[in-house]
Amino acid sequence: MSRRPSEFLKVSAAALVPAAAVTLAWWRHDSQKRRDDAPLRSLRAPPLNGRQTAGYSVTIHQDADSIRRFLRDPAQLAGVLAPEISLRDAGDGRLTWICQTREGEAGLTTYTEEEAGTMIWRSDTGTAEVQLRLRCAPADRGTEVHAAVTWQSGGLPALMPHLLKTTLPGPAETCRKTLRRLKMLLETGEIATSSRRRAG
Amino acid sequence: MRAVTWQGKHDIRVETVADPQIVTPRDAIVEVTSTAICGSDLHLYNGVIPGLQPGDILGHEFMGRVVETGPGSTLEVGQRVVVPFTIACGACFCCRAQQFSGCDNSNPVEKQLASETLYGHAVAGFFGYSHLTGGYSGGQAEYVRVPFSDVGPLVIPEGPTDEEVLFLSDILPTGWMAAENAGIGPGDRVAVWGCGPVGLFAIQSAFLMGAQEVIAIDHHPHRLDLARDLGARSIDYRHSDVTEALQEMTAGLGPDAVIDAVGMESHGFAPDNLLDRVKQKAGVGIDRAHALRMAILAVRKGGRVSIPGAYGGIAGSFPLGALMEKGVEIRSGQTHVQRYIAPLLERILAGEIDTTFLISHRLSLEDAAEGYRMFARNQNRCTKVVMTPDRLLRTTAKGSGNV
Repeated sequence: MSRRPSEFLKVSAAALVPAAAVTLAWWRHDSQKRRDDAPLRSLRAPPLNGRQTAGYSVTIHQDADSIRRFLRDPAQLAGVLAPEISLRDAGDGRLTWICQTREGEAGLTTYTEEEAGTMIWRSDTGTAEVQLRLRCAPADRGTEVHAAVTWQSGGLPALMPHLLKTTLPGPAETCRKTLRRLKMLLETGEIATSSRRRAG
Repeated sequence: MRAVTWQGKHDIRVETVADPQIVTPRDAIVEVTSTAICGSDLHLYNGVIPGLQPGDILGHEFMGRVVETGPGSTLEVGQRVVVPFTIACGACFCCRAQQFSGCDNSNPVEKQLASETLYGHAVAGFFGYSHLTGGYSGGQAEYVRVPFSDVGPLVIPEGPTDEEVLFLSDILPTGWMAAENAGIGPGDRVAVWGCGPVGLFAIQSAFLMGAQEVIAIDHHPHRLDLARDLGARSIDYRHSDVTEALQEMTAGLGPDAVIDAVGMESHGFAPDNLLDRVKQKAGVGIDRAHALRMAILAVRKGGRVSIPGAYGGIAGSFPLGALMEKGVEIRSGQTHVQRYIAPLLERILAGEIDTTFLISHRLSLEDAAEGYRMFARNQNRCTKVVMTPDRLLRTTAKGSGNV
């Protein structure tokens, strides 16, 4: 006796959903088993522990010491951040990063560390961290600056951060723009703009 | 000031807009004395290059006089300059390697993402082109803000006319680099697809580099005449099978080097081109790469392919097999104008290169819309439109009108 098409679809769906779930689980499990030297932030699937990482790298034709001096100075550092982000000196070597969002103002206070050539801004709550690793580039190309931003995903469903990473501007995009501005300013003395007239 | 603005496909208007200002320290403001419509402006006019916004000021071939400088500029007020269409910082890895059109720092950060996504890396800034290339206001205007003015503009001595040096801004270095990328040496036989300005200057450059024979391919009789005047042999693809003709004209070897000076709006009724045209119309493809496909098939085994023609996206049916199996070298790129502009000026001043033969029409900037229409509709006779701001035409009483 032949089954009706709707029954056939139900049976097929019942078989396909678990198969898809198993495939996804296997893919995520497999992608966590790192076998390469690629940076952590280039993982195709986000880690299962809820810690998210984004990053970007540039090569700047400057020596590492000049770049460090620039980054240690909050006034200069503020000049390469996105317009919606500002910095306040919170005392004791700490910085408060103020971000204007649609919901209002969000702040994060960090303290700065330097470990073996890496500058680290770590939030005092432990939820976020920005690492800038400076490395001498080959053949007189200056200094490689590798930025990695790590933050807690805040309980988003496992697949969501992966989607956010690829579809919405977020830490990765902020990181890219900041490093690009840093490179422009340090290499050319100015940040490129196609505006024909001065602002204001 | 008055400026030529893009308002949409086939919609060019001359409008009054605010004058430019010095915005960053290395800027200069140039008062434009001559500007030209480039073949690649037609890609914008025809709406096949993405990333333009209504009101954008066009033009990337221009020259003029410096009227204001920022504190970081090395130019002086009153100097006469030709401005390269590529904007380059002079300090990044690419600029230090003399690959100025790859400049890392001239395309504003907020405009880089599109080309980084499309091409893998952000492209440099250009004057008067797409926002993919920075969205900089162009030189078909009375005044232009020139960023990194200490790197790009070349100071021109008094003596040569604007028309003798204007094309240093783009098409002459582009033709020269096309020939250089083709690795032309003494005795070479070279085929050039497209006898527009870049193709014609590539022919001129190929002969200067020692080519034995240059074969020019087009379908516009007047342009083929210009190629013949430069010493090239010609193939009109409407009347002759190009591949067969090239095989015969090179006695079975094929050209040593081929130059695709056509780019993304290839003509012809070949099936691949018709398919490309449909894709372009439907917005699912940007490039009509028929000329390039032909060039790759025609070049001799172990030969060189140079691509100065502008391409912007992805083309299907690409003859990768021919590239590999014949061991063909391929080189391309936007022109590193800053690398070539000074030595080419020397050649102009020495009388080795004359580019004025190309100019078919001289117009007032006010007539730019008509200039675009004419250039797009009559590519046979209209080989180059040079425009002068109306205010200067009135003061110098040079007059205007078609040649």
